[in-house]
Amino acid sequence: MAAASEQRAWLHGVAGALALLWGLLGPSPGWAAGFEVIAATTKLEGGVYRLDARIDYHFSKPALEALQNGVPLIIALEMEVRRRRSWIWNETVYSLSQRFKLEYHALSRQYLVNNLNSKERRGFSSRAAALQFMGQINGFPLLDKGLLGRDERYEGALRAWLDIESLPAPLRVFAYLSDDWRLTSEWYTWSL
Amino acid sequence: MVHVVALIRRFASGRGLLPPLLLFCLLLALLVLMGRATTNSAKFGQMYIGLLLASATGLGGLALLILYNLAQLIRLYRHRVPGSRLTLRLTGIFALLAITPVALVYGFSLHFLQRGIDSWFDVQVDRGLENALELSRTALDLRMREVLKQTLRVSVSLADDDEQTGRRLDDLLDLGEASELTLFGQGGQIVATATLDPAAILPHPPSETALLQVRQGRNYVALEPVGDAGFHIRVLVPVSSPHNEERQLQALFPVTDRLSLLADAVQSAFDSYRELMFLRAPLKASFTLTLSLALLLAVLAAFWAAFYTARRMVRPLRELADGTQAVAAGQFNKQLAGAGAGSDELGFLVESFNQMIRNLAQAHEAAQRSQALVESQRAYLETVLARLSSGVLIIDQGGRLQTCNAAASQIMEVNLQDYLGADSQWLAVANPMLQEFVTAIGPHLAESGDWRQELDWFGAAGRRILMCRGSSLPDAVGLHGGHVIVFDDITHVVKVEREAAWSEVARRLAHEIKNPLTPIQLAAERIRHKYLKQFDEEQGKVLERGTHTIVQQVQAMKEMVDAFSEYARPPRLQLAPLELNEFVTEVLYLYRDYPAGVEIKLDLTQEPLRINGDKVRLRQLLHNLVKNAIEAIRDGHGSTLWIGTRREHVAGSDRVELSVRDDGPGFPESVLASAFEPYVTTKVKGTGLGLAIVKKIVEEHGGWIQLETPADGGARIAIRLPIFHDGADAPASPAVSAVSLHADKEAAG
Repeated sequence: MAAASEQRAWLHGVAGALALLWGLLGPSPGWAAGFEVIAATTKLEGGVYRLDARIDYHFSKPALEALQNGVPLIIALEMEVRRRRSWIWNETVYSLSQRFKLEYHALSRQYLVNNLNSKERRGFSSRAAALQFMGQINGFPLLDKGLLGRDERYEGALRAWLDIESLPAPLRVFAYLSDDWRLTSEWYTWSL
Repeated sequence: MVHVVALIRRFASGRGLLPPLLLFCLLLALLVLMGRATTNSAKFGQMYIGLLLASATGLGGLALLILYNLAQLIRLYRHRVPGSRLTLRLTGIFALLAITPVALVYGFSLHFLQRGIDSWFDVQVDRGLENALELSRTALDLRMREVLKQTLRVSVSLADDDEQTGRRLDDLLDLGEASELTLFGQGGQIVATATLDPAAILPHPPSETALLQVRQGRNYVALEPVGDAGFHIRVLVPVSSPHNEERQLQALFPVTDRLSLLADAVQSAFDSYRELMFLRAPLKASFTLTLSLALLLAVLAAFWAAFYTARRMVRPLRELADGTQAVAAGQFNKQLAGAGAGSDELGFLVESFNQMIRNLAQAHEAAQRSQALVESQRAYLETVLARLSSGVLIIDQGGRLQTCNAAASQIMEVNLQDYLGADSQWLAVANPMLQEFVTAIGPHLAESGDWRQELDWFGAAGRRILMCRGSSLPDAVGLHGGHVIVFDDITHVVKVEREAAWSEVARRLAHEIKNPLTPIQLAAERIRHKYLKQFDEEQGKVLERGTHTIVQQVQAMKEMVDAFSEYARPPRLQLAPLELNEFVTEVLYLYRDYPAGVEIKLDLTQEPLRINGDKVRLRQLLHNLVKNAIEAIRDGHGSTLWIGTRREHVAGSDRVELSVRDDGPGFPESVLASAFEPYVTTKVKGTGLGLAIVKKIVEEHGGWIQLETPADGGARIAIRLPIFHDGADAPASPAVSAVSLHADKEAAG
């Protein structure tokens, strides 16, 4: 009798683990998650290229769930300046990244956005506001013009992605294997 | 490269203990690290994915190796390779023995893992934390309400004041608890600001939403992170102005230290708990994964160990099986290496097997030796039998021919080897020539004891005289009775004896008769001489005729006696090398003008034929032959005599044939067998010694003579003489060679 219940419990455990695996790894239908760079451009101000960009962050359900449960999410903006070459791939001459930490502050019921580069912190009462804040890049100083060659043609490239490596270890395994956590945007390029 | 391939092959085939052991330890270490990484240790946390991948790869590799081994084992099993069945069975048993407890432990571990992690979380704790958070919020709400009141008071005091706003704000800041007071004008422009922070140049601006809310006439109060200075309470209230323009007052209040600390503690505890609760499922899955990998490692290791152990145990058994088969196939030199058998019972078994094989090999060798001995004795016996000039036959109790030697076949002129095992009665039917022999010895086979019989037998070469001696064999040593019959062809011996007797008779006759002949002749001549004158013519004629007849007959008798003495004369040969063709031509030159009717034709070979001979005797031989032939031709109305020479090569040696052929009447059947015996003649005249002397001369020269009756009539006499070698065989001078040959002949004679 005891053995039977043990066995049942064991089966439940295995079934639960499998269901969880499926839930974590399987596709979530009807939810187009992923980041997207809507627009990005640079303007030259006082010899410095300044970046203006708009980025849409669509988180998947598991990612939002994690955020809601106090798991901080690290979002990275990766910027590159590439020298255009006609017959082989372009050469990356400069790259930098901006990292934001998005977390939910339960006490104040706020979403906090922490720019890890500038240490600046902002609180938002709604997630949408926080995402909008993160999605608006205005006049970000990208590069001094003097660093670029005169007669060369350059392009800027921008993408946003969720840093899986900074997730808690147990979550990371599934994040690696699941599409729900692969929220990287395509490279968005423009002429400099 | 070859080295690496060999290593992989060695590894894959499951030989050697060290590589799998190392792999096992490596995987175990990986799993331990993984287990640590799962429990959120920062150090190993970064390595988790790498560890997972490495473990999975290692385990996958191990699984592939085991599958490869299993497939190979099954293939061997299908091909019924000795030992594969036992290996498979042992592997199965070992694997089952190892896997069952491991699976049980796995099940329980999984169960406890699930239960254990679930038990971390408690509804009470959950609710308590929620409540604590709520309490913190309430406390903060109270504080916020309080600071709102303060701000509202400040805003009222600022309402009428148009001038000196900046100074007023400074004063109010000093009075109240706020850390910063800012008055925003139309469009959010800063009208005046006062702050406790001497480093601050600009005030901390409110968010758009807050401004919007205040413009709609509602107060804004919220806990917000301000810069990097931690949480502040931001209060934004509308301020009524004299010119009816929109103004907002923002006040930032620090949360009191104690409250801040407590709220932070509650917040962080709540956060950790929520996070942990949320991560419960992935954590379980991670643990389950690690546990499953450990299980897999254990199972695979168990499989490997099972393979290894089974192979190790079966190897000596398989060697034993191979060894047994080899011994069954007759290989006694097989020794088992006994690798892996060790010093246990299997090792003992292998050692015993080796000992047994050594003993068997010795026994086998001894048997072979004795067999070889028997064979050699048998060969010895056969050689002796083969060398015997007497024919030997062994006939068993059933009358079957068991053994015969070469001499028997030679004497019988039948290859008796073909009739081995045949019944003697059937032998008579199968070969009519043997019938007489079988009939003659038949009666003796029934009786026991020794017997002896001389029997005449007509073979292909004429009448033969065989001397048979028989003896019944004892019924022992595998002989089962039977008879041994030894027989000799004594035809030649009998002939020689007969010739010797004739020689003796002739010698005595010559001696006894010749003595009185001379007195008889002399007496007859004297009578004639004395009484012829006294008798008248008539009587004288009678006397004359009578004495003439006496003298003539005495003369004839003398000649006859001379011939006899010639025949009986012991040989005194003067051998010397001579060329036969020249010699024949020279001798026959005398016959070139021989009285009419006979033509002599020479048919001599071109090549020189050297023989060792006595010219005088050979001349006599030729004269006798020619004379004999001519007389035969005359009697039989023939016309031609052929004399030929040629060289014959028979049985590895050369010899010379001298033949004399005529077209006369030939020899009658009755004299064929005894033509060369004295006093055998077909002629009216003659002593009957001509051919006997010829034969004697031929035999003196080491040759033999043969009488033939050609199919187209006439007679042919063939004489075969040994050829004379003076080349490589006789390096010494011909004279010496001749002398030595002469000596040999005399010794033989």
